[in-house]
Amino acid sequence: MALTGLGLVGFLVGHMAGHLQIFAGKEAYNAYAAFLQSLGGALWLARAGLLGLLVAHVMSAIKLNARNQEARPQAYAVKTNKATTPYALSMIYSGYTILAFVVFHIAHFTLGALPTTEMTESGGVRDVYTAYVLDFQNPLLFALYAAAMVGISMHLAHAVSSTFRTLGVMRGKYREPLSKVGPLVGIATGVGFIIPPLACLLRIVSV
Amino acid sequence: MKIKLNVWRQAGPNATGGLKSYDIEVTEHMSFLEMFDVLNEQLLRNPDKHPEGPVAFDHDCREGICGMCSMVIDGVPHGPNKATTTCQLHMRSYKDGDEITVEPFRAKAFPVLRDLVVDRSSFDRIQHAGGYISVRTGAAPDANALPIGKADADEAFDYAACIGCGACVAACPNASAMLFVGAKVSHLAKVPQGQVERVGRVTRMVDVMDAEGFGGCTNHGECEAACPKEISLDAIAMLNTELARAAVASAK
Repeated sequence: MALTGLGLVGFLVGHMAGHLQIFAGKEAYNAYAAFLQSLGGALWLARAGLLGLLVAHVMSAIKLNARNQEARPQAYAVKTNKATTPYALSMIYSGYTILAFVVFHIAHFTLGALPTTEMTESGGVRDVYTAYVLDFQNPLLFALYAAAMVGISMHLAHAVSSTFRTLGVMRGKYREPLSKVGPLVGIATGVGFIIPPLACLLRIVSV
Repeated sequence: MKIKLNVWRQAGPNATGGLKSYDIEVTEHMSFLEMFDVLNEQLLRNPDKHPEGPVAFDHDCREGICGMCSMVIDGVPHGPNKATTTCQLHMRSYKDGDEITVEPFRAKAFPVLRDLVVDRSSFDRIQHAGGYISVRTGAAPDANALPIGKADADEAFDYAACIGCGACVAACPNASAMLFVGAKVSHLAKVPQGQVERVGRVTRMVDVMDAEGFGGCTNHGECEAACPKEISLDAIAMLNTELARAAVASAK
């Protein structure tokens, strides 16, 4: 859970940094997209690695969730929680939300299988920038992405610090600071991912 | 003061249980268990009115050190007070007219035997798998004959405070026993006497823990909040470290 999760978080942070380049303008963003496409074999290797991480992560999550359901066959009539958080209790649901979103997201941008903006060429490279901006001017599409980002934020808010305990580093004097890293990463990722689409929606960034 | 108790009544391991309400008059000086003593006296005096008989509940030392008392009180093992066992919970923590729901610890690995009594021998089996040290017996060694660093001694002592009551399992949303196993493993990993069997201990104890049907830890922290001996969640981080260490050591 922890190791695969950590790998996926690493990808998310890089992915977020990539998208923040929308503010650098059309040429820079399209050049970044063209650079990723130019990686060829390395790109497919990265994709295979990510898919492997995702599959392993989801499989172990389903297994863990089933085990934990079985461990308490009879529920309490009254259960009062003193320490846990709503986002820790909803990990499996935020997880499924993210999984559904990942499928949608790949269909949307990577495969272009949705009836959204047509990808054109500009200056010899695919004009990802224009397609991106026009798509997020659609409030429905924006709302869908925003909802998914809430799921990602909630998931990471618990997941990241949880990972540190699983790896054994979050104890003693490191406990307090590391327990704050999770919520911080959760908020930063959610906000970082939603800023570019929001800028498109509000026409701060336009074609 | 008047208290309305909703108590889980279950005639046997395979019987269907349910919550039953009782009205009881108590004083604020009584402990929570003494309230049950009073209730049971009432139930025994009126067998016609109460054919279900007295409430079975676990208790022994009644001074907060044996780990025998259990009960989930209004959704919290050992009740609402911090670092307190059920026997050390007093009715002064409640007020006249309160309604209190009392259930047994609930986990697949802690099957209900009767009413509020659960079978916690799964903890014993985990201990048998590795929660011990092998030493030559003989005269007691001299004090300080075996030097232990102050920080390690303190940490080992904090983990050794675990009384094995099972509140961590009862409080955990996943019914996981990681805090208990973590405390036992960490306690012995921190002292020189525990070094010889260190590698095998953690893997054997975790294997038995898994086989007993406890859930997996997802770091909610409910165990630490419910623990009457305030065992820190650091025990779980330490347990994970010990497991990784054992995996490396046995791969050599």
